[in-house]
Amino acid sequence: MESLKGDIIKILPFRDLNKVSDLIYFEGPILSHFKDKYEKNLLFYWVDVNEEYNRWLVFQVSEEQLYNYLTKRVDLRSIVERPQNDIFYSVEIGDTLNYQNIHQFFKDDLIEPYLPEPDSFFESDVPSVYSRNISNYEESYLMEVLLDQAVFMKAEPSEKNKSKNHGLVDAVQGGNFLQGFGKSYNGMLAYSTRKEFQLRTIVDEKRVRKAIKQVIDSYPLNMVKTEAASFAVALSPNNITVVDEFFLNKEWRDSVFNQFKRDVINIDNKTEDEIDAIVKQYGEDYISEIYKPIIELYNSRHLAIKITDKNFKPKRTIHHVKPDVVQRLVRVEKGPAELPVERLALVKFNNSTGRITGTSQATLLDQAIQPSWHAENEIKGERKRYQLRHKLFAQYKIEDGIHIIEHDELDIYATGEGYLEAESNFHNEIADLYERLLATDNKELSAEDIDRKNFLMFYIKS
Amino acid sequence: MAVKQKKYKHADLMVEKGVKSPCPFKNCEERDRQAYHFGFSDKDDIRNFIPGHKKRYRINANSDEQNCAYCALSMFKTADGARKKWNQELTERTRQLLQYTHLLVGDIKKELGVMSIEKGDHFTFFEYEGTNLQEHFQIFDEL
Repeated sequence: MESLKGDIIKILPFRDLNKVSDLIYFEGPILSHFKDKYEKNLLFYWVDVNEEYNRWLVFQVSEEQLYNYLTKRVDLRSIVERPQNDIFYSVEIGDTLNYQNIHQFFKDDLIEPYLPEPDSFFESDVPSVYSRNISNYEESYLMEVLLDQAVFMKAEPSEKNKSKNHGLVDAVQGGNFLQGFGKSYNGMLAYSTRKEFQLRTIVDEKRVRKAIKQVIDSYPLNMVKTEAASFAVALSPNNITVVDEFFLNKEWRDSVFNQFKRDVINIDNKTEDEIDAIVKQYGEDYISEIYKPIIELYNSRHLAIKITDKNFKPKRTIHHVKPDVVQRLVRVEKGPAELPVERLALVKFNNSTGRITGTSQATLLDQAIQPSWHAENEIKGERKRYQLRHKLFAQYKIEDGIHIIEHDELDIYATGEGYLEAESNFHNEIADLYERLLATDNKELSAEDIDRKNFLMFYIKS
Repeated sequence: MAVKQKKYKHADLMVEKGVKSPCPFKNCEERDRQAYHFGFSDKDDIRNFIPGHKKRYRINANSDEQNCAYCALSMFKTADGARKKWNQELTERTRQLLQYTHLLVGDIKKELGVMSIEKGDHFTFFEYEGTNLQEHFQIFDEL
């Protein structure tokens, strides 16, 4: 047998030991769980033998350590490295089953041969005696993990609305708050899934789409804690469901959520360089999908949002996202997705000079990030096509599911159930207006119509 | 005429260890089956086919059923199952203490004893008196 350091003691300092179960056994116990009179959990690990005796390493473990071991979250080595109170005992047991040669020593004096190897995970069947506790433990462990990685936030009515609402968040704003985070996170999941497939050079689009759908269904943000009488929530990604693709696993999901916390939730707090990096990273396909919902929320006039600690004590106030950042992160949703950011603004036509006099970016940004629309080369009327000298910009938005393209200067408001229908109607409205104004002498036109006519003549080449 | 009850090879050990009946367990049957067993080379090594309770005295068994099982032999239905037990479930220190070096394979016949009917890869084999498994097993591979 190996020599031991430490002190020899007369008895093991635990009363009324009762075996709960053998955890590992082969031709006899190898690792056994005992409890003493005071419900302390002790492990007996067979570490040595000679002709007469078997030596057992005895150490106290927490219930958490024990269940973490049985559920393969930690290996035996990491438990042995962290005994409760940093103390080990060793006992030698012979054929009479009496304990003798009992040692007590500190964990630093544990000799190397008795230390289990790394990756010494529990690989046997979990004894039935632990089944119920494991399922209880799993639930509390799950909640613990969810809370550990959650984002804790509190929303209050903005100063302006505070007195009116007695400091309470109304249900619609509360709903918008949750929806904003949920939508942004879904955008992040979709982006990250597609990126993962690209990294693995998997180009099967059907498979990618299926995985995106599955990931969004399986890893939604959950509310894991709320506080009554205020709108305080902790959001954490689902921790239970698994998806088909093995690489879209728990570790992947955790890394996506961490990325979401870093890049999206803290978007109000980024430097210019960080914004550059974000724009570069998320590209045009997903950037709006990820950032638009959360920026709308952060820039809401109704809510003031704070990041809090686990007890919902404020840690940081979320600020409005600056217009120049909004402009870079939120792009056109459909059709004109390639539109350069600097051209998002509405053009203004100066009637007296006949020139484009500037942009009304502020108007656009004030209106909570309306995506824009533009006609590239031509206006397609029902009867005729008109070539454009310049790109013609307008506002594009969706309200209550209706797609709307409108142009303030031209006083055109076209709608459709889909983007294409709205666009087609917008083209027809412009064509009709142009034909009507062109066919009418200026003397018979109102001042506004003359402005609109000049505007269109400036843009339309033929 | 009453059927003569067969005696188990390690019946005395069962008594010595205070095993309560029924031992072998109720779910044990005579069956023909290929089996794998941890041991030493050569197959006639006297350390082969020794029940756990005879080899070393450890703390009391988990249950009466395990106390009974330690009076018999641990067997595996497949080589993979045996290797999984050896390489994955046991720590390196335990492997050193158990000392086995080889996996043995053999054909168990109904007349040699009874085996526990279990779901996994492992089963427990209770030899009848007079059984000599060395005659039925060979070295299969190193562990």
